[in-house]
Amino acid sequence: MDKKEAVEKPVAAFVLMGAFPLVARWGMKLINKGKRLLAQWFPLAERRNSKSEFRFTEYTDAVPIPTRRSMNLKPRSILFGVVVCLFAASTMQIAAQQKTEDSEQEDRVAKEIEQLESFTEMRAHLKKRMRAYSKRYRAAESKAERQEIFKTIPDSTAYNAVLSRFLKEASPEEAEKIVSWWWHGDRGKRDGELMADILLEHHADTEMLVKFIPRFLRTIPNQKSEEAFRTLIKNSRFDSVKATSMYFLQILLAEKAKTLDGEEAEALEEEAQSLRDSLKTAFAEETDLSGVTYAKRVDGAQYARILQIGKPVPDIVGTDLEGVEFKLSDYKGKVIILDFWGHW
Amino acid sequence: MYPHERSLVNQLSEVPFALIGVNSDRKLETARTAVKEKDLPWRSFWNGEKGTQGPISVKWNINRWPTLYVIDAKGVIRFKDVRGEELDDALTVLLAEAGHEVKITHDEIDVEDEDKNKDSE
Repeated sequence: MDKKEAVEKPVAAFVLMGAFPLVARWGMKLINKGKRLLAQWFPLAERRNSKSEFRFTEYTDAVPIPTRRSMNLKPRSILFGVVVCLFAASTMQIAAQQKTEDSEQEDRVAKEIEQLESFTEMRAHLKKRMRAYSKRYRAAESKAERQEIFKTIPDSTAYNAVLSRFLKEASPEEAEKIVSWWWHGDRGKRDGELMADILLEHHADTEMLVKFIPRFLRTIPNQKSEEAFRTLIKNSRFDSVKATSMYFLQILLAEKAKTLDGEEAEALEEEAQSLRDSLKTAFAEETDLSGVTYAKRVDGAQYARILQIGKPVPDIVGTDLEGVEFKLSDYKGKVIILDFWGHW
Repeated sequence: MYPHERSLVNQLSEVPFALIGVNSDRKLETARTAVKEKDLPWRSFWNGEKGTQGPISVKWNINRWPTLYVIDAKGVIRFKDVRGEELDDALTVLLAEAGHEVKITHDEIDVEDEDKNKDSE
């Protein structure tokens, strides 16, 4: 619906609303007149019809032709009627216009999004919309108005389609940027699984994957993560990618083993153990993003097994905050609270 | 946490009890300031410059802070991550095992103290 049409329709509606009673009145007058003439000219017709309940005369008497006088309409009442009609028509027009504007706006945005050509452009586009949105939000004066505006918050998932396209075609550096943005934003509303799929299909042979492998476990189903880790361990050119996949695969397998019994569980445990072994030997140098070697991490995980209720506490040797060396075992014989704390 | 721990250390000074911290602040200065300002009466290992990724917490596979272990007089881990009254009960039991009857109560001063801390933070 174009703008011209949007204006014309309500106007036409108004004209009709005004014209209808007039037309109806004149029409009725005409019909009644005709009936009366008929009754005069063809008394037979009246007689013939007398068998039925229907009589022209009765009809015409029962429904007098309404006139301004007979209806006791004052000119100002008519004026009032016209004003009401005008008001109704203009409201209709405004509503119709608003509706077209909204849907026009939506269409325009959807078209704009489709035509975006790069990730940078896309971000700028969303940013601009977000800015406009927050400006409107801040300008709102009542709570109700704010709630109304809140419904119009730009939906960043609308960018998923173009984003997937960009990610498929991106260079590793660019892909890294896109994924970071995708994964960080919007409280998990974006489709992480879709993104992981694209990453694994189009960017499996990059080193930047190490940054995102740890998130696989949280974002995509375990079975799929497991397959992804296995593929990466087998195919990746990068030791860092392999080691990261191995570390997370062994966590996944150990967890899975807990849900199974007997031989199946044992097999998984064994596989997890062999992964841990290679992390401590062939991949001993590989570190995670915080710079801790996976070998150490694996040790930590194994340490957790001896750190159980009912087992003797392993000693800690270190220095206190003043730099004085001391040991946990210095306090043997006492009941100890060991408190891992930080002031942040 | 702090007022509760402080209250424990103060109350249990006569019995064989110790609160040992493993501080995971990246900067030693942060930890020292905390000890001074919050008046924390216990000794802590320092986890090193890597903070939460420091050698002790990595070795112990700690990934939540604070994490709390309660160890009995024989050096056996008995409780993990107990808080509040549960922690008080745990200590009462373990100290009783070691032959020391204690009754742990946290009087109103502590509550006020906690409120004060909240305000200042």
